[in-house]
Amino acid sequence: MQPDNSLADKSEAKADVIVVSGFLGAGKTTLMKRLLSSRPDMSDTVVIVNEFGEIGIDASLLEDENTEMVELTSGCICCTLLTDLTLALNKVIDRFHPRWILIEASGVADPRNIMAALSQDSLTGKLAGCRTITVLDADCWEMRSIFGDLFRLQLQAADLLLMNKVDLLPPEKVRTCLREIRSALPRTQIVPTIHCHIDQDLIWFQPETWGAEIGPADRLPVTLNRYAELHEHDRDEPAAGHFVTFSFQEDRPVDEGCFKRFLEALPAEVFRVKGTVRFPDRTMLLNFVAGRAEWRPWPGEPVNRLVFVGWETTEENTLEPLRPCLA
Amino acid sequence: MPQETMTKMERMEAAIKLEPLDRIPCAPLMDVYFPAKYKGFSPARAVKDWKAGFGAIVDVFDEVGGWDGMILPGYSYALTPNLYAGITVGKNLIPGLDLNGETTLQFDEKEVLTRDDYDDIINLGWNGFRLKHKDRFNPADEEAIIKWTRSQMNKYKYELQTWRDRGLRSLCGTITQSPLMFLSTTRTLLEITKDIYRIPDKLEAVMEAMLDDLIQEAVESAKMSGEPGVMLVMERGGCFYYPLHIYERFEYPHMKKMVEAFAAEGLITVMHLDQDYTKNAPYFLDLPAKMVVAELDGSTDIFKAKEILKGHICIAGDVPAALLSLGTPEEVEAYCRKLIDVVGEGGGFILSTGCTCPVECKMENFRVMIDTAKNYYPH
Repeated sequence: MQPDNSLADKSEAKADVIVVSGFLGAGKTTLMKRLLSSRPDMSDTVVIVNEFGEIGIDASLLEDENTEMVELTSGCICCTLLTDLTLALNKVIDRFHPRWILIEASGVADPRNIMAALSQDSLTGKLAGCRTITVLDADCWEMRSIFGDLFRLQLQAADLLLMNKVDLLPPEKVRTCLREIRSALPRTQIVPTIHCHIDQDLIWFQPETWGAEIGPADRLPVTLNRYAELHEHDRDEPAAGHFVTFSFQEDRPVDEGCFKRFLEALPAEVFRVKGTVRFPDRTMLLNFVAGRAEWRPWPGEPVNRLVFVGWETTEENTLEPLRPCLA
Repeated sequence: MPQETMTKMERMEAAIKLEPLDRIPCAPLMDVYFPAKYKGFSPARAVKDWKAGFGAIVDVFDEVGGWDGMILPGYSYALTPNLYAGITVGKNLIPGLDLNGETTLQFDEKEVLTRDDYDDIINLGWNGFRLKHKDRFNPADEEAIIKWTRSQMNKYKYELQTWRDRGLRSLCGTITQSPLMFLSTTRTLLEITKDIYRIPDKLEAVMEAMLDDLIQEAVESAKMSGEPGVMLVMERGGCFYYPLHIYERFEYPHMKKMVEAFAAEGLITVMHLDQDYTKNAPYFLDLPAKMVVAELDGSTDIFKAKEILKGHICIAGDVPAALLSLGTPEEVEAYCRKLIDVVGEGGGFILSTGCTCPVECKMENFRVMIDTAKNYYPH
């Protein structure tokens, strides 16, 4: 990505920041690689990497994507993180005017320092928003009693938590972990993953443009099919066959109160529901991630067309409480 | 401006011994990168050309009219002329060699020790282990290794003498780490944490087996360098990384033995406490009084630490790196005054940088920190 001074209006645009956080070895770099290969054109994206004892992003991947990368060299010197990140952010914004800034925090980075850097006066008016994605090695959850403040701070900082490497746990433990983490972090979206496979919509989601991006009714299954394909890939790997996807399609409207109670009662193992819901007076687009539902008006076909993604759950058990909601 | 009635050395000594002061002493923790940048040459050159790099530190000292003490004298190592002393386990990434020439040195945190090494450490001790596995960690011939340790010690002594010639001393005649810190950086933070969880008894035995050698080497090297102090680096043991029940088992007992052993030899321990140690501070009350400096980096609540440790040990710190780099001189002065007001009350305080003076430090901010110590003393 070359500096572009010719587009004056670009300098007015604000950048969205995605911070990828998590302890050493959790899979942050894997997620970064997925993010970097998830969109056809990444030329509007700058990557800031805070290395610390981990194998970093292959620079050739960035070259292929025409993406600029800045390495913070204070990976092991945590006290200078705030300074280095602040200076790097100012530099890349002034030079490249990126639409997106991806920050891979080091495994020992204090998330408070990252937030402090993003809140510096020198960045006022330059950033649109920030979302923190924390990657958790699911195997580390059972060790939580021996972790100090860093581990807790990284989890608490998460808007979206990837409970990664679930294939390395016995399936019954995954369910337990999921419930425990949900209980500990009730306001965080928690998604189990293998090799950080995740629906990219969850990462690049932009609330303010969601409505404008709504397309034909058949767009949704395409997106969700892609999600299913990802987990189809996982099935090739050992112990990875416990992700479940199934759909629910029904023309009859559902009672709104009943449906919302159904959503609230979904077990932690059902972490994603997406699609359209037909209520008696309107149809809405539902995006449900790990206990949190977002609703948007749906101008298309009035139909219930939902896809469910879960871990070791069954279609029958999940949908049974939904059926009484149908008119 | 307070009237100065003490020499630099007397002032530093009085601060450590919690005795009355004419003003608060200032002793920044300086490595080469900020001075080198200020003097206009690259980190790569600073590392490669020791005379130029150390000269840059001295130039900065002279340019700001000096300060009261050094935490470390420069950036050499006080190594004993023993083969094991030159067998370093773990690697630094060097600007101009492993990194681009414009970046600062980084520790390369890789799993250079494995669980399979633990039995050897338990059976042979730390020095015996290093000798047995010499070629794995340092394949150079023995003569070359010992020659290198001697040259490092000579540089260290030169640095110390340079400061003595300017009327000040370095607090540390050598540097070492706690067993947890050593193992955390050579096993990696993640793997050592798994060891704590899965094989705690064995890990504890490894730490115990390392202890005598670590103590003996630090004492010997401090005595050789001629400066009665040891920097004990302990970034990885505090509450930021581990809860207190882990600290009580895997860090505190070993560091306490080290501090007590150093004190028995008349050596001051400078505990280099990177990251947050606020919850750990009460444990320091069991360390030998007036023989320890708790050097804080801005992450620990230094005001709380003062409440806890007042009258027992000296505190040094903690002008944060971000303040020195991003702040204004007015902000730096205000923070230094607050430190002198609160942490300096009753003595036992050395105004210092929070960890190493950062490479991006603004010279005007650095100067203000030094000047505030010289010009402001309300007590």
